[in-house]
Amino acid sequence: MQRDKLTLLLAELEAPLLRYAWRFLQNEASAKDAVQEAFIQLSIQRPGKVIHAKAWLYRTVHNKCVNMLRKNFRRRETVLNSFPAATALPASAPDAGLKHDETQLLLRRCFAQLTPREREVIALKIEHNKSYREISDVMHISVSNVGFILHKAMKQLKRKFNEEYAK
Amino acid sequence: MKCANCEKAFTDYLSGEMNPERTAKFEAHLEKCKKCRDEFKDFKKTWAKLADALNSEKLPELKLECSQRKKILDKPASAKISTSKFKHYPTTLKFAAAIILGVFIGLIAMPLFRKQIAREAFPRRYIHYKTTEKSYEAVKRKMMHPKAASELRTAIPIASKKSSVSVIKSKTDAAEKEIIECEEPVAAPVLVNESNGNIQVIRKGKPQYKNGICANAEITELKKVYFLDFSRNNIKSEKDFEAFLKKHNMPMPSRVKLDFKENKVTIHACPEMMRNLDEFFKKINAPAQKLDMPEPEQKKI
Repeated sequence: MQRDKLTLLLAELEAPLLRYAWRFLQNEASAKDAVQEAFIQLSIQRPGKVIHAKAWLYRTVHNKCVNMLRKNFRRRETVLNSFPAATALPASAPDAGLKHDETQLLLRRCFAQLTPREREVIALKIEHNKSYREISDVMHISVSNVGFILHKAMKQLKRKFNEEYAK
Repeated sequence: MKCANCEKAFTDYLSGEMNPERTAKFEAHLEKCKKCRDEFKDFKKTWAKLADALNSEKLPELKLECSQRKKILDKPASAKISTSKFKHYPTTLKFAAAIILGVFIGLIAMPLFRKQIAREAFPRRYIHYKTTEKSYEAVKRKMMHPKAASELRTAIPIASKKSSVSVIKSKTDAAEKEIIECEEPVAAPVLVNESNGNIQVIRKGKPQYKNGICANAEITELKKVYFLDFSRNNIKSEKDFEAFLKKHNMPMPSRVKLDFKENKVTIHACPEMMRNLDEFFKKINAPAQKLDMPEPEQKKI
């Protein structure tokens, strides 16, 4: 791939890809390695081989993260179960300003309780604003399956949030 | 649109993945159905809160190092990344798999290339030499391969220095035939395959017969059958036959087969020797000379 195109892609996608990889691995160094390797792999591809570079990069980072997690299985369980990092709710939050933070923390905690696949679909859709087709390319699943997983995840999340909020 | 289908459409609608037709149906249903409208409102709120929660989450400052960025933007040749499918397998396993594959290929390929290997390891050797060796035993000793030596059919003791000895062993019937028909002695180069000891008669082109004579065959052995009265000559074994020939100053051919029933002797010899043997047996088998014997007395009446 040409250097100027690579530079543009790097400027545009470095932060989102690092964020995405971090959500997977929960490790800054590993996330940087995964993203670096993905970009290097893109740079050595023959011109014209990679048509949709963005989707390709997301897919590659996904694969790299999965492979890294496979190597450290125990760490994977820990990481995926805390994806994203679950934080405890403050003991009491009487102020309205804090209520907003509480809600956010609660949502994050409920989000962390979803399955890894559900979390990844939601992260790619909401955080990275990917279309169903792009998500299906990254995760190697069908487009209809993306919609199904997303709907199921959101329903589950809403139910858990309502239960937690009621407590 | 039904309520069950409407609920399934919440996510698609918020994701912007619905086609215009389905969108119209969905919005039309929401206008009519209060229950679905309230549920959708609640769902939309959760969706927005979740987006806010995830996007506002304080993550560690993630940025590639300068060295990493440099590595990406440098020439691809400097980046050594294995794109092999097998890169995740341990090196020991890859090494073992390579050895097993090599052995397997070797076992399959060996029979195919054995001939070639043998040919290269044991090059063929021509034997075509002039010798004054008196016996085929001496010639046999010159053969390097034990099988070639044991397959010597004839090594004719030659009296003259000008004659040549050729070692031949032909495995084909055609060559056997040529041996019998050829009368002219020709120096015969012979190819010996040192790997398996096979001896091959070298010919110049296909055998050509003219008047029963093989013109271009390079064969030096003839086979002939002679009649001999063994009892009259007091021959009871091969040793006796050898002694008989020695007595008449005839060399012993290398191959002799005695048939005591039919009073026949089959001899393999080079053409020159065969000529000598022809004369010898003519002489031996000639009728007995008339001896001066007194006539029997005539009886008087």
